[in-house]
Amino acid sequence: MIISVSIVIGSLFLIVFVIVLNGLSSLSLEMLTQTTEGGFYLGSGGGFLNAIVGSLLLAIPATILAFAVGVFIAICLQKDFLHARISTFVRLCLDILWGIPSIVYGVFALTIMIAIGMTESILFGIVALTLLEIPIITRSIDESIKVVPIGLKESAYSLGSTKVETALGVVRRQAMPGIVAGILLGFGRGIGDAASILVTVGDSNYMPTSIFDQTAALPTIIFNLMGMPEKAVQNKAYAVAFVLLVIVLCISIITRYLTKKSSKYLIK
Amino acid sequence: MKTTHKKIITLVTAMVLLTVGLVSLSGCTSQQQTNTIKISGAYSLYPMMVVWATAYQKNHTGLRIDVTTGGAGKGLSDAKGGKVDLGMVSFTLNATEAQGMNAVAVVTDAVLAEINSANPVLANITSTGLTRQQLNGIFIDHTITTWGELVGNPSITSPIKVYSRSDRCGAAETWVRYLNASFTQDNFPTAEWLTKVKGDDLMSKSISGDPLGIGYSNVNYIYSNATMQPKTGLIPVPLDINGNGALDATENFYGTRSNIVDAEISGALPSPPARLVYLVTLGNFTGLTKDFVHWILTDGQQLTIANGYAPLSSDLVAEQLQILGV
Amino acid sequence: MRFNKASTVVKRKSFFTALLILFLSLLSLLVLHNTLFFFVFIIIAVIIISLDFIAISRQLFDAIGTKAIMSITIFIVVLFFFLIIVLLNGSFFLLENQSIGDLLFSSTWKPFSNKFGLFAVIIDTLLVTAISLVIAIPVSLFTAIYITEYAPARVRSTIRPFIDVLAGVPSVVFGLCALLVFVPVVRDVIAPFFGANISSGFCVFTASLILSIMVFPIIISLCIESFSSVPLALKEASLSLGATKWETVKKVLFRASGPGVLSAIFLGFGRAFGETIAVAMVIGNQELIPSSLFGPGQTLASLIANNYVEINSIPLLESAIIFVALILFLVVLVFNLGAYLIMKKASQRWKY
Repeated sequence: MIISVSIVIGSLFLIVFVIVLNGLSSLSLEMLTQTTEGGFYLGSGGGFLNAIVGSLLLAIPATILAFAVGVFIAICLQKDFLHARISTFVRLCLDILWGIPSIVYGVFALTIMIAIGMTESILFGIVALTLLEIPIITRSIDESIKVVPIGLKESAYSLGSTKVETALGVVRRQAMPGIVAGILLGFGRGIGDAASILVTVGDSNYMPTSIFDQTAALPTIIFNLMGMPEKAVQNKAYAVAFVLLVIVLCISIITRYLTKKSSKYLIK
Repeated sequence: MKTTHKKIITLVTAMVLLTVGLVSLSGCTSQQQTNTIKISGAYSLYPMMVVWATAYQKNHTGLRIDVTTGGAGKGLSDAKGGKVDLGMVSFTLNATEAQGMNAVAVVTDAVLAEINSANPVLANITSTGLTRQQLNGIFIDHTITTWGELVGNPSITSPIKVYSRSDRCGAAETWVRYLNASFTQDNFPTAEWLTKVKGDDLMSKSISGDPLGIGYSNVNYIYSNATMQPKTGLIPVPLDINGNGALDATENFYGTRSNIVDAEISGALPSPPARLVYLVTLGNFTGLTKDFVHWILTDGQQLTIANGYAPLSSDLVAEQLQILGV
Repeated sequence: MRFNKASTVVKRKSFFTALLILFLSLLSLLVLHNTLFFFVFIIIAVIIISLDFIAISRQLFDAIGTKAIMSITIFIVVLFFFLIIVLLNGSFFLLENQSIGDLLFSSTWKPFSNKFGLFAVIIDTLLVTAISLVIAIPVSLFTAIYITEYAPARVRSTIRPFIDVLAGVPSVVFGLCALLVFVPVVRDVIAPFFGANISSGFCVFTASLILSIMVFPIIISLCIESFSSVPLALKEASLSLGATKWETVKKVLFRASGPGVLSAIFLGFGRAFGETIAVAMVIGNQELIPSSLFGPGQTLASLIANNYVEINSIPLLESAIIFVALILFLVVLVFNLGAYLIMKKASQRWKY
């Protein structure tokens, strides 16, 4: 049994160490502040700043949109709004959407893109990522709304609050840790996911200046680096992976911190 | 009200910082950059295209040339779909592919086979070279399966690990056409003994890490740009072009990259495996793209030899300029 | 419905929201250079601020709010079906041109010669998923048991975060790690150990290895959930009758949380079935059924990732890729549905 645990923990450490050891040595300030032009793919200088900006431009709007949709759905799934049967059906749909591989969302956005007749752009990357993040964020918020003590809601109703007011005022505060965790989880997924943006966002060496631009993104750089010239490029892949890993770890830490902080309104 | 004050101040400060940060980042690069030429495609032309783009952009401020890779197949596909202005394609388009497209040859380069420097029969191979038949037996028919079989020494039983390309690329097309003029990339079998990797770099990386491996890639991925010598761990396979079982003086030009470029120019290295690399576009060449390609065919040709590519002959250049429409 | 206009006006704190929207509008103008979005956001901010000054009765606000919330929910359900329809529609082109038999039961995948046989790829996907589950299930089960039953509280609270972090690592990072660590190890150590000397390391086995690591967190966290929900009384009853701890685990815990574990396995299967990037980087990219675990292969998801670049060159390829995505969707749908039905049946059977 200890063996199993050590396998699991060990593999995590393996991944972190490999990436950190290699990535840290190849990461330089230059890489974080320059774009990929200037020979990044040829082994000479240059950096991947445009990929960082591209990833942010993809993940942040997607998370905002997914949150806007998800929070309403999660509120709606309470017993007060929908009949139990319908809400079970909706939860089932959401669970299925949660399990769908991200490449399917990418292909879906690709199909729409081709049907409209547009080319790859950040816009469709955002569409695919939003679809990917909606089930994640909704499920997380839903879980935390479910454990709101029913007495709390009932006392709000008995004081004359309407359903929406209770939801936005009382339930929101009680479920805040879950909401925050959900948003950060969705954001982490959005930054790191390659499959959905691979087919929808294209590639570019320059900073994206409009929502209809193509752009490089952190995960797609790693995936595409498999065909690039020069052995030195291998180290660049490590560097990009290192940055991604750091982002993900930071999100984990921030989630814990913010969850604790937003629990100050909780009534146990 | 105090906590609300604090919240407002932190929120506004954060937003101001974020805006300033993002604006300065994008502000640095967005000086009316409405003129962009997007190019994508073959790994084999990529290093040359980057050189050309950098040189051209020096004299044309305000013009942005965005060069990405992905393989010749992607270049063709992107150009057909209108996603890029120019596709770098390192194979000759067939009838269906050429529909609606215009192609201009810009440079000559070559595809060579490569083996690991720790190969068990290295000495034999480098002294006599490999014939077309032997290469066919290794890559296509799988009739030669061990290194010993290849050189006629049955005591060496190490298997030959064959590598090929998984993406549609000029290197595969060119190499397979050298083996048999009527073959296409689809003639590489789908079989277990053939490992398909994506991209020239992964191919070279795999061979340099596998003592029993053999593969093929563009000359610029076998030779180092800095030293002009083959990269560590890689040895190009000399080709016994006339098939006489020995490497004649005219066939031995694998010492440095410039020797190979000379061989491409003189014709000592036949075509295939030397081949023309094309820039393709949907419809006709127009505007900024046309000017850039014109520059490549004239001034740009002088930069080729230093970077490991052979320039086009003057007849060929005249032909291409006609296709271009200048 | 008569709304009483004399009801109290609700003053919502829209200041922050309006500020945020204004900020977004500035961003979109300065960073994205998009004047359309700029104006759209400004209009939204103006609406939000003006809402503060309009007297809306609480009942009206509640009615509007409830309708808005419900319509968004309906939108999601519609989206779910829209997804299926769009994928189906995209596959029609392919299905008109090729017979289903050819697509599903032939092994020749040569898009340039118009052959789209998926049989080998389907078998490979099942193979890779099955092997990764074979590795992952025992390890995850034992880890979950250890965490819930045997670990002291401090150890428990230190291990949990690690599992969450593992769940959050992006799949490209897993793929890169597999490329750098597992491929050489399999090529030089593991494959020769099992007698396969010509493996390049890019094989079905490597893909299964990295997939199993990716599947650990899912199965572990779901198992922990179902193990924790077994009431203490059951376990105590078994212990009081003289069973050892391990016997309790084996006979009581597993039986009681059996459905939970089973549904965890189904969900893990779904994840492993659809994983794209990490598998695409190490599986060897050959659409055939390897004769040994150390030969190359291709899964449905990695087929898409490795073949999407040539969509515009071959008209049928685009439709083929949509078709493969449809297959992925349907399989994952079936397995998630199965997991749900198992849990439903179980909760009817096991009432405690």
